[in-house]
Amino acid sequence: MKYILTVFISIISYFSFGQSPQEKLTEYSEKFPNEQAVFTINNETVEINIKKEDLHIVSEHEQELFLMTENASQFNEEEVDYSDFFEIDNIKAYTLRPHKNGYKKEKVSKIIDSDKIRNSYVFHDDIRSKSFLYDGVQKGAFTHFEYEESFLDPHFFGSFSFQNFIPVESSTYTIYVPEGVEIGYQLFGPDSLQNAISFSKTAYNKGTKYEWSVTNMPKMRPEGNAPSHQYFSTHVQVWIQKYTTSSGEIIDIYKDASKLHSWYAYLLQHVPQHKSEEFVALCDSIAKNAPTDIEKVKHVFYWVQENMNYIAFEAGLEGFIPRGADMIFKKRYGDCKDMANLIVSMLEEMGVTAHHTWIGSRDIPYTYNEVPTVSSDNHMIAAYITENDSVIFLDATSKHLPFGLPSSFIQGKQAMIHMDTTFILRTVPIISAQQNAYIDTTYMHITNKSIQGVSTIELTGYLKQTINRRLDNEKDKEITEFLKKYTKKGNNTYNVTDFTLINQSRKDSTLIIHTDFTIDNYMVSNKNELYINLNLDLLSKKYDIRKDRVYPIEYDNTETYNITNILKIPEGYSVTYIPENTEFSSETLSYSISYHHNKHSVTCTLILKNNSIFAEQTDFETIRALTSQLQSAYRESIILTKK
Amino acid sequence: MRSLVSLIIASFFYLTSLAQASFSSYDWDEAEYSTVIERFTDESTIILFEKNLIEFFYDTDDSFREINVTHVKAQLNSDDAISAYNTIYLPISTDEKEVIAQKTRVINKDGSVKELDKSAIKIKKDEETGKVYKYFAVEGIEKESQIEFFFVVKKAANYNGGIYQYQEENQIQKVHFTLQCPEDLFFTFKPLNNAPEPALDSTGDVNIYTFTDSLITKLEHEDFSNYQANLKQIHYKLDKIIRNNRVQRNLINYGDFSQNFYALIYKDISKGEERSLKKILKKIDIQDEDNQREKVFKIEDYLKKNISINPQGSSDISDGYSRKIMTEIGFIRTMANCLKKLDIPHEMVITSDRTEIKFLDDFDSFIFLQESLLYFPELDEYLIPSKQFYRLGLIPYSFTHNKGLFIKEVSVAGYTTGANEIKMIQAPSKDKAYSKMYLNVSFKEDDPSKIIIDCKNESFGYSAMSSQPYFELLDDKTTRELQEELIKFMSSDAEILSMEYTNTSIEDLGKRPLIGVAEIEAADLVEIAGDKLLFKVGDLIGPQMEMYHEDNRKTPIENHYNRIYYREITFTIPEGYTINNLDDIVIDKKVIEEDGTVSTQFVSYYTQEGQTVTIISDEYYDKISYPIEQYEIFQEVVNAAADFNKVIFVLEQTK
Repeated sequence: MKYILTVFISIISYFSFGQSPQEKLTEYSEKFPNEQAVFTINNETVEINIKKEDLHIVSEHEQELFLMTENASQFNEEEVDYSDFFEIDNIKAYTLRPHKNGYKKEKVSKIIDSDKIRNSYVFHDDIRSKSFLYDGVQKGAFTHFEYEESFLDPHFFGSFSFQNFIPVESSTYTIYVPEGVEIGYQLFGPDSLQNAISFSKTAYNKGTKYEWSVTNMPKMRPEGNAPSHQYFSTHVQVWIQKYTTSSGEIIDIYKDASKLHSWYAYLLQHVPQHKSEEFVALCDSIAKNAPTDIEKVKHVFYWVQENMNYIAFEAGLEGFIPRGADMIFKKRYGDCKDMANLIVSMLEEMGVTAHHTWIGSRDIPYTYNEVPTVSSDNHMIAAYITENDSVIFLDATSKHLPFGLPSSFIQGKQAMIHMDTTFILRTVPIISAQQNAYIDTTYMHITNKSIQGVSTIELTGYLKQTINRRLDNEKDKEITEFLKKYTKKGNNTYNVTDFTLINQSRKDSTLIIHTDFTIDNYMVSNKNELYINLNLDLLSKKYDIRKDRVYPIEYDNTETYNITNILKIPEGYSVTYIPENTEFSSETLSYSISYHHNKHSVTCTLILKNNSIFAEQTDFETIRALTSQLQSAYRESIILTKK
Repeated sequence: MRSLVSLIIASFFYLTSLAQASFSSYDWDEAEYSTVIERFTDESTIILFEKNLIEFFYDTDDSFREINVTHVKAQLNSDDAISAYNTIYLPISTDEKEVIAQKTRVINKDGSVKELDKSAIKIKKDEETGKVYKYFAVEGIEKESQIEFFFVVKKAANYNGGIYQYQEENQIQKVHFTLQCPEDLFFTFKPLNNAPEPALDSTGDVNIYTFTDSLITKLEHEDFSNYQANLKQIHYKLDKIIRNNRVQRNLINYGDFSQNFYALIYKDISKGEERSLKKILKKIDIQDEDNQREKVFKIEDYLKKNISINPQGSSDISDGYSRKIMTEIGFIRTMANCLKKLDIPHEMVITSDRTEIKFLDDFDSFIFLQESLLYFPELDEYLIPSKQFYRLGLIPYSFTHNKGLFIKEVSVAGYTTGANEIKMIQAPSKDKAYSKMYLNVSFKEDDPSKIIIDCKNESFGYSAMSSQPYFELLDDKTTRELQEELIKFMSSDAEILSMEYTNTSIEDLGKRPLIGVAEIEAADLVEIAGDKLLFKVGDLIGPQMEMYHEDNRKTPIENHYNRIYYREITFTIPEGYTINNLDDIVIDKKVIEEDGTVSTQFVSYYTQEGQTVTIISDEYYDKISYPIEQYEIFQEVVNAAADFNKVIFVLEQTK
């Protein structure tokens, strides 16, 4: 890695706009009240040129930020990342700080080019950064930043975002496309904002100029549990479809899913195929205990999941080409594509066909049909196609995931399944609420002022997976502490005095948790009456939505809670009041609370079901109506009266 | 200071043999699969042993250096344990420090051994800081594998104060510690929390200090406790040189340090810096009628708002002010010299973070000199220059209730310098951090199961730290969200009908309380049992910490800061109803000191006039530390608040 130190001598020059700095500050404070800063300019101009056999793509970035806060120093650091596929050059950066009736220009004094050291889930990558500090930032100042970005591989060009987390006053994206080059593009974002963008295609001396332009884009504001901002930010994805070289050869880059697949298939050819004796021996030993194909698939999936640790290496094309199965098996670690390739290779050794599969996680809102480029995926898994043409997705990076279940973060996403020279596209199903269940049957009785009880909780699907990961190898004390929170009933005196876990290591079976518990200070006694609220499980606020919420909500998975609390009627008491049953049903959320009793016990059953993994703003009203009714129902107690 | 000692050492070095540091060729024994003792076998991770070896020696270029060997062996029994050790990050290299050797191997139950190949080591360099990061993934780890690694670091000798904290969250079977130095040098140690005192073997031509410790029980995190400060640990530093029967004692002391630090801050102010200081003071616009506190506050507020602290900044006051970016020392120099120019008496204070390392008053060591503060004796208040969102009177609590090195200006025969004293940085009393709530609850006439609450919340000092300094940075919507969260702690589905906050500027921090006045409609605070209403009055104080099931306490109690929680709740029992269990709200738990004062309490009671009931809850914590013996009574007070939170009044209709 070359070390480049660039030193600019600080040149102070006098700069003037029409307005005085004070006027400018007043104008912007009125136009953007209560904001810390505003992008006055946010532009990118791309020039594409054919140079012999290659395509040169250079983008000129220009950004200007106006600072309106007294705490302006938070904006004095700037950094642009790049990697092996990109180059950053010709950085020009300076501050314009208010000086009398104009501005003084202070050029940035030092730019540092360095490996990027950061904490991320990627263990090793080739990311570098160019960074610097702006001198003299203060309220009323501008920071100005220009640089050239070269795309060394046309597969990784390009996109532009019209919105940011601070307001953007003016934003223009221009692409100069010469004759001989064809591009594709797709605009995303809320309709009203997309419609505000003016788009033009005009001729220039070498070809066609594409330009998108918009003013006064509102800022995006992060909200909890929102999907990734690509879902709701206004942006354009662009790609090179093809270009004709000087010698007349036509080079295809992207056009549709099949072109993308061709490139991926080409990269897969580079995967080492060697298999050592130990590798073959391992495959044999697994195959011996798995007579049918599907059992072989299951055993291989579990072996990789249990014995491989996830470590991601993403330097250059290392991020796209899996390493050899033999090497990964020996290391006992790898990333998603390594594990996918390992599964395919092991099964191949056993005579079973599984397929490399590319897919985007739910962070990416596109399908391959919409954006036929690498921007549509960030993950690789394996897939097995059964006799009746259904697909079993195999994601071994997800620990404790039961065989047959896709990892939760790819539900609903489009998968590109490699079939040698061709491919198929299949959508990963969204696992239903019935399959992700928390089923609790609890028996309680009253002793003195406390409630004592035993619960049997059955967990399936993703709920089971989450808990299994959490409990993995924890000791008794940690498990008790965890169960106190996870199975909490009543109030914070809830204590788990004993527990048993069943089927913890049986991946395909329901996980069962038995707890013995006590709750103090929960009942209310008044003369000869006892009031007990049997809505013990703290679920009434789970789906609350703030009144002013704007963005959609993303849930990890669908789920069902089915909880039956049975209270033994104490000696000498009878039930004199039970609340009415209530329920609410909708496509997304539904619940029911029902009571019944006999002379021995009173039972309260709650069923709460969330059928979707995505709630749009149009769903909010219904969800709020449900939670409001549920919360009312949660306020009711039963009355036991001494005979 | 450093150069003074080096001079002493170096002036004698020609008499000593130029021995190569012996630990630089450290190597391990043959690999073996170790035994885990029975009571540790179901742990997720077991540290089989940890060796920490330090060797001080004179290097070939006359420098005094140190070789540091860390050698660890652990058994990994779970996915989490494997994840934790699957990637190893070597100590970061700088100009003054480098990893000169390292080895890693994995030993499996069947005896097979896999040693790391050097080609697997990845390297990244941070050009900004010059630091080099080396890291690698370890191959071949399975469940029940044992991983063993060591690295040897060569660096400038750290002889003026080091610490070895060796207990942790995993069980450890054995710890070895060795400190080796030339025979004319002697170190001194301070073991804490039952760590052993090293034994000296001075028979050879080097001095060797060693100790071993076995079966070190893991320390678990407990509430109201400082985890790191409670670990088994040992401080060490160079103590004396004995040569030709001449003894130089007490080599590491704060006296020399204080004089050097004083000079660094106040001496050699250049003409350019003088000009900049004048410019800054002019900008700050101090008025003659401002009292001392106002003057200090203005200086601090201006500097913290206008200059950012960054290692890439300038230490020169003039250059740094022009760029608006300074190093931490540049910033402190600017602040201290502004104060000096206005003749405001102040002292520099340097201390440690008590949650990590407690400042000892009987062991001078540079390890305690972590953070700089300014102390104003006439105001009896502190400020912290390096933290942007603190202001005079408020410093992070981890620097309070801890001793510190105070450096005060003294003049001796026309020569000014810094004189030092170790003093206690007192934790502010409870009145400096409070949260007071005044609630007026009315039951809706048409539906007494719904209540309207008029509330006024005042929070001050530490109790307002998480919000008061930040409102100015947030836009309207985020500000409103934050303010709503502050109000909705009592009922998360409360509807806020109106809300207004005052004193929302950082200038109010530590001076004026943050006040929120709101009208709230809360449905879930009244529950229904047939025709009775259950008023969850306890919920009005919000969820409380509980220590209901925490016995077997291992560490002493230590609070973050002294504080008050005061609540006044008034309500009128609705027409046609009566409450028979008002007495449930009467709670009285106290920790009474020997002199009769109450250091910590939760006391709640009520008064009634006709149908109007007023409840007072008076809770405070006015003592930071309690020994383990007082754990139970402390626990009772904490749980008393949790008990109050569960009180429910029954409203019955009168016949």
